[in-house]
Amino acid sequence: MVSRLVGFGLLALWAAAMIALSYFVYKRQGVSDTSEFITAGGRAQVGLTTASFAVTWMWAGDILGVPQYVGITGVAGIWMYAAPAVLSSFIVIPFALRMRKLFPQGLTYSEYFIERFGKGAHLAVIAVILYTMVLGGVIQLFVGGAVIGGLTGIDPNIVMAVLMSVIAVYILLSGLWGSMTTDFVQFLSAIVLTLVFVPLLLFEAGGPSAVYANMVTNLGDKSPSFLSMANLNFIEDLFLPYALGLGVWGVVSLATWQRVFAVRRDKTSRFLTIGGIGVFTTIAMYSIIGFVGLAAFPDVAPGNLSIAALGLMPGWAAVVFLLVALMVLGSSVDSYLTAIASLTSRDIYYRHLNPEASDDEQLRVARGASIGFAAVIFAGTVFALGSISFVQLLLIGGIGASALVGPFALSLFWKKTSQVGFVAGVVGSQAVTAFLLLASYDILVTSPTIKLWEIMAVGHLLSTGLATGVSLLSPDDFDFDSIAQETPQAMADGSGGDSE
Amino acid sequence: MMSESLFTGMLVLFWVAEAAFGGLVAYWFITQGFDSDKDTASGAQIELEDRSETLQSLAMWGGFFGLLLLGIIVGA
Repeated sequence: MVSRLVGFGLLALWAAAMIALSYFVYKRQGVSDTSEFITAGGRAQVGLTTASFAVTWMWAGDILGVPQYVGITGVAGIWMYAAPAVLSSFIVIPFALRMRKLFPQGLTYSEYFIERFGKGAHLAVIAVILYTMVLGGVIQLFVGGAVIGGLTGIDPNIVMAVLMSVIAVYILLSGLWGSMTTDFVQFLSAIVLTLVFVPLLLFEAGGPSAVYANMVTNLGDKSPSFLSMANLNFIEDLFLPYALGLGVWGVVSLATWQRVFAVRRDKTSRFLTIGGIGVFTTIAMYSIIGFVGLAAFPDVAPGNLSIAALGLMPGWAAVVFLLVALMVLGSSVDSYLTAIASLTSRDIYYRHLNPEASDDEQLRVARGASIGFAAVIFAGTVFALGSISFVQLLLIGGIGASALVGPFALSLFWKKTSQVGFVAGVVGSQAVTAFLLLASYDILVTSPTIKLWEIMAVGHLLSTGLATGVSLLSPDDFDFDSIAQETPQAMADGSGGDSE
Repeated sequence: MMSESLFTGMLVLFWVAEAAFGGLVAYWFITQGFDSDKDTASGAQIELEDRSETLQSLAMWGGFFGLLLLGIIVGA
């Protein structure tokens, strides 16, 4: 436990460092137009982008979630937790290469849909992205408020308000450049601190041999399954729902796409590969907290293993842990906030409300949106803290991903995919999976009750099947070259023209 | 069931992999910086990655998934 005074001191230190860094980047990179604000001009180097991508995928909730998985299913919990995030980086590669071929320098990936189909499909995509990204921010802030508030004794609402205000200010200043640069510092800090505090915790518990021996003793006849990587007892609960939802989240996440468009075009698959595999190593390190918990606290529930195990560390190490939490939390929330600001400016304001908007106006809207949506995410998190569980939030986000990924793939690679087919797939799948999820939690309706992974599978099958079937009945004959020829500047100032 | 030595080896592997990942990304940043200033100044459009770059990435993924599968089999 860290005192409130130290907690406030750490928050102040983090705030000062992040805002100062963002101001430095704002001056250095000249963030004075929409392209720089939204995609870092499409010239970011692979190291910066890989760090930013990886740390965006390192969620504050992992510090609690990975030990919980280990507490439920043992060593197999490592890959069950990590695989969806890693899978997401792998699956997005063909999408990313295809999009960067069609759009040499896109701004938001959602703008592709207005070129490919028209305003109807574009609005459907905006709706999915907007709630997915707001949910992403809420999920991070939700965990951050609970963890940092819990460790310092500061009211979680105050923690969340401070975090959100600081992040809004540094995104307001320098957009994606600020997000990526602060991400890089947060990435290095999180990695170094994890490399220090996890071994420290392990040796506080007696070292690897003692941890292994105590685990075997405490687990008794459950030892063989808990110490087996092939323990599949909980695969339907712990792996499949997240693999089918979060496993394709990267394809839908505008935060991922901003980094895809930000990195040099010749390094697109490289940063996704190293970043994705790297996330696995970080999640694996957090699993050690779970092993220590199983060895030292046989009667503690899996959900509380992390906090109990971290209690073994000396006071200064708890401060180190708190810094890790602040770093991984800030990096994820700032990525989602930048994505929402970009979506508001380009996809909503420029594409639908004011097509004549100048670049300066778009930039002002993006900066205003970063403040406005910071308030929305904060309000949403305060509401969620009292009424929705962390797992429910994750699953609602997964529904958005399962509805969009199939129709998106068809639109990129099959010229007959039509707007009516695309919209039918996305909207139909969203409606059915939302209904099934409500029924599974007995909210408003009580049947049918099917497993969570089955709901996600239904979402994928329905979205892809509807988009394919309706497009066969009412096919398009799209010429991909018609959008591939647009220049970066045409995309930025809109002179490339809408399809409607 | 995983033996003690395999368990210890796994923890060491995790630490080394995490350190290598952090080191590689830091090395890239130190040697490359923020952005490709030279390419930006020349105004040239950077070409999309070539086939060999993509295949190298896919080979890394193949290696990773192979190692993961091996870990599950050996650690079963």
